[in-house]
Amino acid sequence: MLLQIISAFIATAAFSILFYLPKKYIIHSGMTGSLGWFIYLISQEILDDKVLSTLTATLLVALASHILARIYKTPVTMFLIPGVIPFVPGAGMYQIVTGIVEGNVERTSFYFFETLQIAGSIALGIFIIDTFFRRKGKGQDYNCTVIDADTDKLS
Amino acid sequence: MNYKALFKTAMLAGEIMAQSGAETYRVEDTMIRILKTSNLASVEIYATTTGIVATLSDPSIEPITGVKRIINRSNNLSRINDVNQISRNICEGIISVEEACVKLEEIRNHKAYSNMVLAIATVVSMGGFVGIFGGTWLDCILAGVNGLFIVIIGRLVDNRIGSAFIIDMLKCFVLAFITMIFAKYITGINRNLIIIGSIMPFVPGIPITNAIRDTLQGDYNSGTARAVEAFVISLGIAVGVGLGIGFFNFVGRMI
Repeated sequence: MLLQIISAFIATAAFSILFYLPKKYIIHSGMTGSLGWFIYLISQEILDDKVLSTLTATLLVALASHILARIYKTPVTMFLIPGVIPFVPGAGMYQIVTGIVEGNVERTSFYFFETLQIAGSIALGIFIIDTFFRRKGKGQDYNCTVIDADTDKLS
Repeated sequence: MNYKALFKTAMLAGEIMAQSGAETYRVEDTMIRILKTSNLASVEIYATTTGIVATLSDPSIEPITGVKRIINRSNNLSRINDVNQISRNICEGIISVEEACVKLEEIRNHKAYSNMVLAIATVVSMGGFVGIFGGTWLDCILAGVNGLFIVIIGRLVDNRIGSAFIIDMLKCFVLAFITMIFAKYITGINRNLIIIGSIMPFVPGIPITNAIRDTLQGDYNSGTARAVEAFVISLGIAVGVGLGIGFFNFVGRMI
């Protein structure tokens, strides 16, 4: 398990270089990645359910990303994208393909629905935390002169 | 205030962001914030994943309108971060619009990492992802070897083939085929894990995340467009891996 968490750090950090994450945030993205994977492994032990574990881990990764984004005043995607990458169901995709190659319909359909559920739970996790932060953080984000949208008049 | 220069700067900022894979609402939000520093009555932006329309008008000036088609798109988080910083600086009045325009041009031509670093990152991330899924040291190293092949293929085809779909498919084909050969000659390795770890750098992480965030923001156009993009990328990976395994099953007896 320790090996898995260390490789989560290395893999997420290396992966974020492929997406040109700024150098100063690479350590943070690696930490978000290994935190997420740690939570995933723990909840896998307790809940023994891939979909629920993905949801739990995504919730925490999204929360951590939002907090980091508030601290460093950067777009939240800087930390969110590397953080959720380990949960993207690459394994499910592979199993679907091998099922098709072997002509095993049952395996294909099982993994097809599992992949959809995992993708859905990633979406749900990001949705929930985003909504929460959008309501709370509204208006504190920038200090621009903002013209009220209701009084805008077209010339 | 020079509204033409302000408009040009805002358009440039939006263009760089959209080309670098920012969420659509962020593109619109950045442009609106820059244009609102003019304090003019009306600022309207309409952005999609493939183009931006913007207009700035007021009873006191001639309206300025512009359209920008976004053609080349890639994923570049550091450009998004830099443009975001510049837009904040403009809003806070730290830099002038002209300075911002020069800086934005610099950002557009700036490459954050050299090819060597990117190649190492590809190899390391493939090995690392196998480790995440519980592979042994040997599995990780073999995935890293896959990564080396992917880097070499990338050098050969990346600028010659226009379609990202074909490039991803080709790379996944090669890595699946090579892994099958490894599995034939080296005992005690887990070929499923090696292939899964190796395809992870290709999975559409940015389109998926952006699709979710755009949809939540109410940008259903961009949300569905990105969801389709993610699906097409996944399809390319799946077809590549499938063909690689199938091809090995076909020729595997001979080698």
